[in-house]
Amino acid sequence: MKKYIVKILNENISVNVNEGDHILKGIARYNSSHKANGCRNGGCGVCKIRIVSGEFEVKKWSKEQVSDEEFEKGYALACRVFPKSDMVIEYIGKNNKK
Amino acid sequence: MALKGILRSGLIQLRVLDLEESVDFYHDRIGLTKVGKLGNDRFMLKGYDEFDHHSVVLREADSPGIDFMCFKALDEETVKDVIAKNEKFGYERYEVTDQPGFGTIQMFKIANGHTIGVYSEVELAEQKPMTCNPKIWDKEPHGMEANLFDHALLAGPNQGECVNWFVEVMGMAITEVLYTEDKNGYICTWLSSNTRGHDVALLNFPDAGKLHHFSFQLSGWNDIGRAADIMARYNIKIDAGPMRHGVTRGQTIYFFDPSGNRVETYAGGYEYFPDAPLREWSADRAGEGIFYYTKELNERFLTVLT
Ligand code: FES
Ligand SMILES: [Fe+2]
Repeated sequence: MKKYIVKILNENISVNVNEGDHILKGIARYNSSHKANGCRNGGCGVCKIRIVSGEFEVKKWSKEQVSDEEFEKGYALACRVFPKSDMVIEYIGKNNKK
Repeated sequence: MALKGILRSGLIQLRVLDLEESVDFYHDRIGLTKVGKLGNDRFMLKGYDEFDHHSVVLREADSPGIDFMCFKALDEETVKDVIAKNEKFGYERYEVTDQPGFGTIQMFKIANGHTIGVYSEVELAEQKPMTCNPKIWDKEPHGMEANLFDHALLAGPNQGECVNWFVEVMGMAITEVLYTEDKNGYICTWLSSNTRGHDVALLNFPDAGKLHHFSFQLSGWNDIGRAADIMARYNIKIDAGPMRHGVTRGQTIYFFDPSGNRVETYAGGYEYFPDAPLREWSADRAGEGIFYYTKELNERFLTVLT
């Protein structure tokens, strides 16, 4: 199965994400009690990230957690981002705007 | 008439990200009955064991969460009484008339950012429990076999004031409390209008109008186990459980709907009577109150809300 490497800059870790999986699945496999492991359905915002580089697809998420303007700036929810290449991200978490 | 005033929680409107996907989830998996579309962006459902027209409305929106939760009053006198008693609190009131099958719903914007409704008139549903030489069901239930919409845990600020509103205006009883560390306030309060352990619970939380979870009643522990099997089969995201709450003694699973709203399947729990003494929990035993077996709150309990 195709795998992508997602590097989380501010945590100094890299996680493997299978083709078709979202980033949070990779994070949870690495550490299931990671703070980012919330509703896993795009609603709660605890998995908020900033995308530094890489290709990906997204699914609908709560705009209260990440607005369209924030998405323009690279913010996203890890449980709704599906890598299409290796990626580099930062973990932001709930309500932590940078 | 055995029970007077406010009878029960009876209607909830929930926001979802994708209406079609959510209707399938609540119908196929949780086992609700489809009642029908409401405009372009809403859908009505009900539990198979409920008499009323519908009890759950899903509304497609940009962000998940709760629009409002409503309570069934015995009669119009009760509704008038609630309106009068609300004067002291001065909470904004408005009328909603667009729920099919329902009479006017009086909505109150209470101080934790939630909207609470009261109504006395609702038509019987097409699909409802049998009443003449009744079988336990007319058509066998499916999915997790949710009987009915049971309760919700609403999060927001000004919790003490809102508790007073539910007690003084709605005439509901506090069944259990979880005190803050200094015992001067409550972290969470459980309130009942009937013999259930709770119809609504209020969680103190900085952000207004947040939904912690809402809950469907299942028949018993075996049904909770079967619900877990369905969650495993369809990769439904479980939050915690199967387990028991210390508070209310309910047997339960917390899980997430496709928009990240926390849902609960709930069974058992004690019967409450108005003369029962208050059950009290100290802050250091909060873990046991919520997660009775593991005795530890998970990280998600106080961070994951919609
Ligand atoms: S885990 Fe809740 S939004 Fe991603
Ligand atoms: Fe509950």
